[in-house]
Amino acid sequence: MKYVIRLFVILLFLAGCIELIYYSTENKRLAADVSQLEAELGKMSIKDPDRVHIVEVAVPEVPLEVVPHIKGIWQFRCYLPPSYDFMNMSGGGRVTEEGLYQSGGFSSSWGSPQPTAIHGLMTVSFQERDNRLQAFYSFRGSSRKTSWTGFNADRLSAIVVLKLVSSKQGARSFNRDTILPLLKLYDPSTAEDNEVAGKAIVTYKGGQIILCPKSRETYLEQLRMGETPLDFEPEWVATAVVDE
Amino acid sequence: MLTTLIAVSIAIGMAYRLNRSLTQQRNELLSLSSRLPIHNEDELISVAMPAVADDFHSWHVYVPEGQDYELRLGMGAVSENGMPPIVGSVRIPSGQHRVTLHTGDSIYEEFRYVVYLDGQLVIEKTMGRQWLPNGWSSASGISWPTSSDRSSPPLQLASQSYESTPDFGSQNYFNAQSDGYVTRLGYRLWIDQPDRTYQSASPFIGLPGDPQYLGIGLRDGQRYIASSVPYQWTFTRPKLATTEPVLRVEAEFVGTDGSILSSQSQAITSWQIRSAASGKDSLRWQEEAVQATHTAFLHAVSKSADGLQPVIELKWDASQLDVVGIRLADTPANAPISRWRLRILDGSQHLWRELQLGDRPWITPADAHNASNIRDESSTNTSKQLAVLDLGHEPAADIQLRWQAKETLPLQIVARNDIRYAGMRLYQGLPVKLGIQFPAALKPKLAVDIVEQHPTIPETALPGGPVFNAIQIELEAVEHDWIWLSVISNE
Repeated sequence: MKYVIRLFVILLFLAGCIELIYYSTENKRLAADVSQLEAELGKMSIKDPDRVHIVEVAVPEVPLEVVPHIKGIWQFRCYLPPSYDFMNMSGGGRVTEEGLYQSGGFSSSWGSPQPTAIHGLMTVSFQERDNRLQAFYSFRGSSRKTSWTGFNADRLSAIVVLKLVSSKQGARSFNRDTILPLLKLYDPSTAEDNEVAGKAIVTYKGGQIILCPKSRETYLEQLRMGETPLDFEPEWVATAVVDE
Repeated sequence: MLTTLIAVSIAIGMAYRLNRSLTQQRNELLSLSSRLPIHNEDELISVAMPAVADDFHSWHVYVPEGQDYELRLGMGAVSENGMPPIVGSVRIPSGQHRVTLHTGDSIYEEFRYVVYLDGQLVIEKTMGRQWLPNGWSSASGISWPTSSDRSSPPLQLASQSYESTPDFGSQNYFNAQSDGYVTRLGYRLWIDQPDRTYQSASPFIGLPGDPQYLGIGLRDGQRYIASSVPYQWTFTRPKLATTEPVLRVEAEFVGTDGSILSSQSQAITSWQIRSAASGKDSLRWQEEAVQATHTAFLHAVSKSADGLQPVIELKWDASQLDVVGIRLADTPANAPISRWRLRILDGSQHLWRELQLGDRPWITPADAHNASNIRDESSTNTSKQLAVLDLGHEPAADIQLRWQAKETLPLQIVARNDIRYAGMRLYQGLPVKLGIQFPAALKPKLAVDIVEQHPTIPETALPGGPVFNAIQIELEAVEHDWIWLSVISNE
């Protein structure tokens, strides 16, 4: 009987060792795969599942035959928490270096909040149409294009690009009530002194794409007009990152 | 030994948890990447690459070995079950490839479509400005036709069916609504075996695989759809830019014993659509390439087994998209019926203000009112007093009746431009002329219901004057001749 128990324990031990070797090998393979995918899509760990997480894709996948037709492209890997209700706003005209001021045409659209968290790739690209810059926004199968009037497409290489996140600086996470200026482009050679809402500001030809939680919609409207809402807190609007 | 076993168990537990976490991470990342998941090396596989522009669409594709395949671009008339003519194709070798489609789908770009295979331009087709001269107002993807051929199925990469913009003037926006079974201009891009060909799509809808809720009949012609009102027959014609009913008919039947079956008697619970004049088999059409006509039978389902239980036969002819045939079916169930009345409804939604008998001049509701000197007292619908019109005496000939709105613009535009129509529910489709043709041998009687009052605002006249609210034809039930109901586009 003693030998039988010993034999059983040895067999159990051997089976455990085999399983452990299997999991170790499999985990190594999975970890390598995850690392490779993260190298392509950006590394992002979700520590607080109730916050918005965004990381920039360092090199967006653009087919060679499409490259000549694209003036610029930025891609972001996003994690949106459950029931996150947001709109995206895209508009071109005149913008300021800081803040959300924008004059000129814009379009916005609401998504429908999902009960579960969303992972998706958000793409913003630009094409030239009739010597105008056309912004293309795509997220999870739905897309939209907006004409950014007054922006000279030929000067795209000389523009200033302000991004919410940068591949060099890694992922960022935000409170779900924060207004997220995803991308702002402006031409520094087109500075103009303007007076908006009783304040003197410098504006440039440019445009911006903003993700705005529904709870902040009315504030965004005021901020876009150059006004400051009465109870405004600066932390309601995320700031852009600066690559060294 | 026991300690070692516990240590191994803990290590396995930790490795298992890590495995679960890594698998979840990997799956989330894979869903964002455009890597090809090749689970079966014998199947065509595609993964769409992230969209980077609205006019470029790219895919990674896998083509299995041991079978020739080609990449095909079809352009022209297309529908859910229709394949457009192939305008370009190129052999695609086995292995992994990248396919890109450029859709220059505007008048400005002259509807130019370009297909790239692994970065090389392989198919280019420009349809020209006249392809859709006014452009398109909406476009929708269409699925691959259902097929029993499951061996080496083709792989569709992209498709689009365009709703052309009708020209009612730059200030008059028209909102068209139809479904994917209507034939429109569009394209499909797919990978297929070089020797595989496709028959032209059946003009009928209601065949196996077709969705029942879109009706039965002709895809581009009239379709019968189940009505939410038990007593009515409802017909749609999505080709004319609306999925709402274009024709609603209410019937009354008079028995040889004087009994009456009507919407007022509440005896009918529903009309069931079936394959034959007798029996209870539900409708089952089979797809026959040469079949040019299809029939279906409407069986009245009554609350009791006693009384009239009429059976109506419907007929669609692929060569006559504008019409649907209707008659009392040749079956013993119809023997106790002596006369029947067809009442065509919804005139106040269509704003019918013109009516024509045969080749006589068009008449208005006021003309009809003056011309009629008898009130239709035989009608069981006592809430309506109908004006009877003389049909003349030509017993050998068929009698044709047409009616329409006076407006040439679609009523959705008319309502938008004229505030007096606010709150009225008007027909949303393209302008149509409706008609009915029946044999004089059926001793027909014509009556019209004329409405002068606004449908929702009391003591207010209908904007634009009176309309023919309903057209009623009474017929003898002795012959089983066809009656043709027509819906013709005014364009």
